[in-house]
Amino acid sequence: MADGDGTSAPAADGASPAPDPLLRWALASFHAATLLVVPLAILYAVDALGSLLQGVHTATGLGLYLALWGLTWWTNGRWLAATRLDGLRETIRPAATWGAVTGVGFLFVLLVAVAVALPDPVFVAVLALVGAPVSALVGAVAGVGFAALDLLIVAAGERLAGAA
Amino acid sequence: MRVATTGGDKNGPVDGTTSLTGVGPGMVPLPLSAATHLFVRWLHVLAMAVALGGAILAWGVSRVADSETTLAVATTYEFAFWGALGALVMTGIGNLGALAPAIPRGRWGTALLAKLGLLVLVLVGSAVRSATVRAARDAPAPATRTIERGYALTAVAFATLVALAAVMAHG
Repeated sequence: MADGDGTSAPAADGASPAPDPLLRWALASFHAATLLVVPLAILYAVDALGSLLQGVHTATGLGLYLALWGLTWWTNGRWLAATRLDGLRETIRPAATWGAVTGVGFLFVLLVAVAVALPDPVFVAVLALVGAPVSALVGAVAGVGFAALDLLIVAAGERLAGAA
Repeated sequence: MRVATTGGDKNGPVDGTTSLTGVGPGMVPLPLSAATHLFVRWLHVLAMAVALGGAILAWGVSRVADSETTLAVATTYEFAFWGALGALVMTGIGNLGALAPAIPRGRWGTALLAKLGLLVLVLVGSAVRSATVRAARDAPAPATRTIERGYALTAVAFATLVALAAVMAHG
């Protein structure tokens, strides 16, 4: 999205236009919060939340969430700069790409946390090797899912505002 | 809250100065974990105050002000709202972590699941509300009545979340 004009497109000279700050901030916060709240409810429903939270120190948990939030904000900015949000086909590829980047980026943050807690380079290396393709795939799928949802949200907003 | 000494005697550091945990002479020092929990809960309440109080303010403004003022206040609130919501989610999990591993079930658990379910609805609804505010800034005749209703709904949803939180805290 361009700065408030609601019709941004990737610039013809290849330079990325600045995404609308409100849309970027709202969608990034929405994605980060949803990525946490939905699994949290599922984990609690299957009685697996207590044991998971017990192993995470408060400061570590806050740091991980801030990292996810910041990472999502950055990748949403890149994704919004690469799309006009006018159709799933046009949106899906950058969404998958930047979703995968988010997944791998968050894996890297997790690996740093694990490396600090368990200074075992071999274990961390194995975790990185196995986790990288998995996190990229999960991130890409989540990115596409959020892109589809975001398209509906933006369309609903335009209709409600009388701008459609 | 568990309160214990972390150094010096019960009167605080021996030199009488304030320690890193803000303990002065004659005060019982808080351990760092207790200070962290206190900070997390303070941040949680502050974020809720911003989200709920801001929604009421934005609703009130949208009822009486012109569309330009309404959209200016709405845009400011949307930025604050998503910051507050992120802080609420982050610190809400911190509060849950303080109960781990024995997170209660039963009536408390039902209230928690209801709160999380309502929160998911608030997340999606608020994303639509933010998209509406964004689109309204570019609309020739912005539908401020829709925005007004959006803030009223947000305020009601957050008041319900506070009520559920009170049930969880006090039974």
